[in-house]
Amino acid sequence: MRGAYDQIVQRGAEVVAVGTGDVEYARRFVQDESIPFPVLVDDRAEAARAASVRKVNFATLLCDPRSFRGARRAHREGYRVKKSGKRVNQLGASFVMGPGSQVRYSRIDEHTADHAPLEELLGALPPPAA
Amino acid sequence: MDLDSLERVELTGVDGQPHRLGDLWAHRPVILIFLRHFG
Repeated sequence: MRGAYDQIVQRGAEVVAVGTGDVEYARRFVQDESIPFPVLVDDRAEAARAASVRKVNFATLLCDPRSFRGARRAHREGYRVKKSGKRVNQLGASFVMGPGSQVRYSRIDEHTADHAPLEELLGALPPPAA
Repeated sequence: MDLDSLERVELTGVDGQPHRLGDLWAHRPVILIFLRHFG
């Protein structure tokens, strides 16, 4: 997402990340990873519940071969999880919202290595204003 | 998704300030990403 951020902003849009954990942890993440977009903390899972973000049981979390393959690929590519979030069994999700009260795109991840393709997110953005 | 409820949620940003979600996309589109963990 960081790599496409300038492109997204040029389209008149913003990126907002919502995570679990505490604000200090999120702040360190933003600094360490040079995150250019807003990062918010959903400490009580209010946003996750309203957005219908899925949770899985720990057996699925640990044993889903898709998650295992994704974790192995990420590890090979140098990604490391420094600290697990407060709700490790909560999956991710991606939405394109607005302007106004509308959902242009919705994707709830099926497993831990599942993520919305960037081209789908970009394709859901409205055309830039003339 | 319960859009009305989602838009009413206020979350704290790394700036320490509350942010009402619906305000974030009131006037421009937003790619909203739910992360499993930070980093």
